[in-house]
Amino acid sequence: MDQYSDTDLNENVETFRAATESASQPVPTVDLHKVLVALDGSNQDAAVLNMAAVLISPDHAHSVQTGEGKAGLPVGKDFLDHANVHFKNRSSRKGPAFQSILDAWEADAADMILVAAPHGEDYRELGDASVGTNVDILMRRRPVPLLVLRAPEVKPAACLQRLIIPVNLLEDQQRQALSWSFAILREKGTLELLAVIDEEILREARRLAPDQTGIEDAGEMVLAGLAKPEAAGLIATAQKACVERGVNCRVVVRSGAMVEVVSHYANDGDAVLVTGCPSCGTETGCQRVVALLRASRNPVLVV
Amino acid sequence: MNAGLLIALAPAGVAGPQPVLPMVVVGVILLATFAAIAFEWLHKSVAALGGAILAVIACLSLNVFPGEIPYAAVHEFIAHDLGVLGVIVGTSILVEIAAASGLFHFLGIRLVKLTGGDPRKLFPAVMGATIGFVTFLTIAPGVLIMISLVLVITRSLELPPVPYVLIVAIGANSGALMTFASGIPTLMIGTSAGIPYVHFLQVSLPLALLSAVVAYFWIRFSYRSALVPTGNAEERRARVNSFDEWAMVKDRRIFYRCAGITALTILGFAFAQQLGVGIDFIAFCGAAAALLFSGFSPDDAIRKVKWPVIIFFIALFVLIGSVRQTGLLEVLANQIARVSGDNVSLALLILVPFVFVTAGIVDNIPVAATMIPVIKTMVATGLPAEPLWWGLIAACNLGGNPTPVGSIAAVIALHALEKERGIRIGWGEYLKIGGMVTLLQIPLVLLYLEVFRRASLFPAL
Repeated sequence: MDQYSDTDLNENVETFRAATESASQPVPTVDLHKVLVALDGSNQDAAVLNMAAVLISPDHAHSVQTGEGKAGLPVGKDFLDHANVHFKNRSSRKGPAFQSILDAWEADAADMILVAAPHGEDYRELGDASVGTNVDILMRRRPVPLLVLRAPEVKPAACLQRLIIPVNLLEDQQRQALSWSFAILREKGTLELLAVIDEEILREARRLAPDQTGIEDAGEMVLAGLAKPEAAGLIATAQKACVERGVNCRVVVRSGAMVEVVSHYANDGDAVLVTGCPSCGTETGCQRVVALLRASRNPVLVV
Repeated sequence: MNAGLLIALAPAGVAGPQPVLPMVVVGVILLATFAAIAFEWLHKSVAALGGAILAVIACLSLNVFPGEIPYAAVHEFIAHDLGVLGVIVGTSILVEIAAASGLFHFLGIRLVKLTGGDPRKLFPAVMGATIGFVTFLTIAPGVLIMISLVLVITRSLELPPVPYVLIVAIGANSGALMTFASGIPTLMIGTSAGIPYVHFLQVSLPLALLSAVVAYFWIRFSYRSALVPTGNAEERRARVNSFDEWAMVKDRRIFYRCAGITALTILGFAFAQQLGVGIDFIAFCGAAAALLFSGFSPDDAIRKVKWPVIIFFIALFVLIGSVRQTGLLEVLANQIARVSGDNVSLALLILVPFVFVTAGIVDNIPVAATMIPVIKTMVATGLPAEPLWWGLIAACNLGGNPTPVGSIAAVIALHALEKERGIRIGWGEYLKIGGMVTLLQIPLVLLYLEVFRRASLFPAL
């Protein structure tokens, strides 16, 4: 009553911001013309090139070959030529791979960087704890969104039909995440907003939700709003934008440990996980995204 | 028993001369506590708790508390004001749930849309909404909502935020004067004086509106150049119309339920006396209904009650009760009564500016708590109760206006402005506005009380 805290203030400011910005301003359109594709000669090169071709079939892809590549480049060039995608090689074998990739981006700015990271199941010797030093560093220094492919058997077209945004992992990147999702989501695809809520709140709200709405999806939307007040604004924006773009929107609510829940949900079927790297200045935010990358078999787009 | 003795002593005063030593010791503890609160040496709950403990130790050591079990007096102090604590807890839960439903944010955005973003309409709308929200939500939650709205809207419409922030900070204190439950000092004084809710609609509501009008015109005059529309009116209107007031409403059923429960609770406050219950009972009914029908987690809602404030109140009641028991407040009251004699106008002329100034320096809640027994004693000496109680209510609430630390409204508003927009309003600038408003409001209050007294417009208590 006669007291307040910065948390109270922030909550109220965010709520009004949601009303004045989220629902009123359209989600900016992102044009994806140029993708910087990093090839390392591994068995993931084909998957990476395949994804690049699906992402930007009519335009240009630039490739930087890092490390001791063997099969990647020729296979990739043929593939891209076949897909009518312009290919430009920036081979680099000097210095660390992440630096070569960043240098290549500086030389010829692309809209997105596409890299592969070995998945634990395919590279047992690395264990589950690594997505590779290069990806770790690229994620922190990325000048543009970074799309990381994990399992080599990825099906790009299928993945781009289903995009998952974990709303709890976005702070300032809400609008950015939506823009990029709409840039890569295929026609008639589905955008899924995943909210992770405290189990007790979820249980209580689920008990009441069917009575309140009678519609399962709407109930989920209500529950998602309980996760974070500002998530309500994101959900409203996403739903409106999805209707405008003719794609489906679904709100999903789960409870449990954040990374486990998100990765478990996203690994069930082909999908691309879209996340931000909140508060990259602090290690905690990045560590959570790295943990998500490690646990994901599907591609992860870090906006 | 102690209870009977204490209740008899509190309003009527302690018979016979009181020892001076306890007055001095406990008086020093009171002043030190107030200083710690005013200068923010300690968190106010901790300061009050420390002061209460020291006062109780002093009173027990100096045999101030009467009866076979002297410590029982401490429980009597708290029991005496239990209703105030009940109202605070009950309304905190209700307000928290109603705010979470998006109800107040919805109303705020809807109001802004009605103005079309025109500063000439937006400025009075902000003033009106501030008074409205504070009236029903009390000062801190009302100001938090309004200041957030103002900061977001002024940024969005590219308007200068300072005049809007000041109108929230100053207008809120008028809002706190509107009804029985609008402000904590109002609630404390109303409870102690036994003033029915409807009397507030007859006496303090018109005064609140008049004081708001005075503040409105002064602030508007001071910032007249900043309150003119600039840019394209159509673009501004289109921008405002694009705001989505439903964006923050998570569930419309909960929204409508919360609106209904809030409206019924306000009605309940108004008719509590006719229903034969205290407004704390109504507040708890509203809280229970909100918890039952909103789908909001009860644990979360109860956790959101500002428990430091409750601790502050309990400690304050014990501290002031101890001071009262020494007879010090009676001495103060008798001095005022002696100077004013049976001249009520003179008593008000001393009381109102004194409370205005002290409430501007110290938090107005301890000032109200201290002055309640003083007024009770003055009434016991034969002065009419009504003008004194209403004078205290007005001065305690409006007394927060002159300085940037005089009221919780100003503290929240200025902090939010600096945090969100990086604009700092110094003492000098604030005094030019708040100080002048206070200089206008003091004679307004005195004149208003005098007119009501002479025209016998005060409802009898």
